[in-house]
Amino acid sequence: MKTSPASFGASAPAGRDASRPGRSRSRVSRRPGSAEPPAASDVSAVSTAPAKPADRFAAALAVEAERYGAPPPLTLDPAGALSGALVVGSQRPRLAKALPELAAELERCAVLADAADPRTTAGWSVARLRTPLFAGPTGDKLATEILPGDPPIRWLKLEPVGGRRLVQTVAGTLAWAPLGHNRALSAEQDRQRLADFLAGPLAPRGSSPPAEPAAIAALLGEARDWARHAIPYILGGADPSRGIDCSALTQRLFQRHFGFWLPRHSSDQKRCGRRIGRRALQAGDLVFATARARRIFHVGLAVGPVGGAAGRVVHACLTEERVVEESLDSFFQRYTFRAATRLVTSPDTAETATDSHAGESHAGDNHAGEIHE
Amino acid sequence: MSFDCVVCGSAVSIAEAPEVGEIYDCEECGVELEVCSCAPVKLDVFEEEEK
Repeated sequence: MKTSPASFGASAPAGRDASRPGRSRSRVSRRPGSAEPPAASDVSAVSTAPAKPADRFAAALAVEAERYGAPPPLTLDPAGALSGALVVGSQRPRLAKALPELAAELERCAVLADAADPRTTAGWSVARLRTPLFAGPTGDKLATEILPGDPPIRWLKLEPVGGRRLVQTVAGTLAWAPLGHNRALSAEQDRQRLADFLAGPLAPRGSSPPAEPAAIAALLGEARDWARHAIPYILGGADPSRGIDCSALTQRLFQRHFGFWLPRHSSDQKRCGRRIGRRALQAGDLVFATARARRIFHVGLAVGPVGGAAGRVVHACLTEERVVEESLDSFFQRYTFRAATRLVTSPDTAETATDSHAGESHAGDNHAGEIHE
Repeated sequence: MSFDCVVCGSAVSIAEAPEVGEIYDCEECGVELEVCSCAPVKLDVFEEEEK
């Protein structure tokens, strides 16, 4: 795979983060892109001559660089041949729309976010310390953090930008890691890491497997402890001993008590488990909402008696700047209900009609290409 | 019940009795769809803000 450092060098625009905590990575990455039409006042200034392929190519890469912090490592030679790789699979339809003559070649391009493709991994590292992963190649906006004991992160085969490298966590989050902060692994460890990385475990999709009531009770107990201790809210934070955001709260709790990784961002988390209705909320379910005045996804953990109706919620609250527990009534006075999901089912749960939801199952996994944003 | 995605036309599975404001994901194209009305059921693209 040919890559060109010049495709995404130091001049890559900062800004739009590759991984935006609490924000749907997959929604943005899968949304078909389209160039903004010119404003009416600009119509007379728009050239009627078709743009040259090289110009359209550069413009399309610039759009992707704006989204992810760096353009995909693609090059277009003077003969019109394409080489290189995409960062995420959703870039393929967007680029094909901008450059239809390259659609077939784009289909053959590797996707760096696809961990199963041997062409895409540059290395692995583990965190010796709490390590920030940033939303972009520059700036301080935190995407997430990896902690000692977390699964290794995967380096994507993309040239570093601004002293940072694009990496992927086991939960699928793409973010920018400082160079040299972590220890690289040996070749044998590399093989094992890839196997472990691909094996997950990830949160269930389309189902909510049974769980021991004691395990659910422990999950709820720790969540309530975090609220009692008023753990600070930190956007991008993933360390409960220091500060977390809403999606890190749910991700870390389920990983600690059930061993699987939810996606890092709340909008992606709602694709996991089994969809249920608001009136069917039980302790241990996830509730998704948006703040009344905003349209940003928020997630909380419904709490109450195991196997019983949930009357309260624990969530890392941006406005309170800490983890809080409150009644669902109070919560829904400030937030608009958007979705509820069940990740694990207590055997004590009586399924009700309001539980019914023709939840789609999802055969894919978090590794196959989509970026967390 | 099933509803056609307004972006790609794929079938999106939604609750029999959805609530206004509920968000559903199209598994095919990834767009998020918001329930705008329940009688009849109408979905539109949900635009999330930058955090």
